[in-house]
Amino acid sequence: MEIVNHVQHYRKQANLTQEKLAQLAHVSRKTINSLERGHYTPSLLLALQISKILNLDINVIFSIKE
Amino acid sequence: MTKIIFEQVVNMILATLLACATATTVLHSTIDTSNTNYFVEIKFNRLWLLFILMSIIFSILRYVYGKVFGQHDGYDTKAAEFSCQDEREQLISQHATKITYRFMTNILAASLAILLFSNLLTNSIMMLRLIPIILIAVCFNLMLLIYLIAWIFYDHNI
Repeated sequence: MEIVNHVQHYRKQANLTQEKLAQLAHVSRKTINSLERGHYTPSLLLALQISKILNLDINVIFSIKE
Repeated sequence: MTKIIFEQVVNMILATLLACATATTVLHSTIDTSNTNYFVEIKFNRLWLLFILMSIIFSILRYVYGKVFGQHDGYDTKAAEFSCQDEREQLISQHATKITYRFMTNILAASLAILLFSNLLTNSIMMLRLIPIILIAVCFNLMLLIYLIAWIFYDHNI
């Protein structure tokens, strides 16, 4: 099982740069970049923060791939 | 990543300086147990002064680095090489610490074997005095280097 995310898609839809999203989520741009590439699985706190910033349900952005 | 490189390079310089200062003190100090009056003379050379001076300089540099770049890259003078900007860096730090621990168990075991055989293979008192210092200095620097390499490796891969 792995977690897939659609952060890049929804971030672009919200007209946010990686830098801006990182700033709003209080993480580094590298973390957002790593997350979008699927190299890093965020904590529940960060996932919730991102979904709040993008104004979407957490299940829309993050899902489990079996 | 810059903060870890900065911290580890500073630590390696200080560790090497400390080892050199200790080695020269050990080499130039004299112990005379032949007489009834036990005589010990410990000589502190200029390397100790250099070590203290560098420690002060690096402490100031750490403080300045923390003030200038601390907010941007999450450098904390108290946390030093364990400074984390966010949860990803915290994970990198944990991975790097784990790798360092694994390497260190092997390196320490190897250095124990080296110490054992060096004691058997040499009868020079100077060498017997120096070998433990050299080994500890090598282990110290290797530990700092492995943490640095592991940190850079995970930073690129996570």
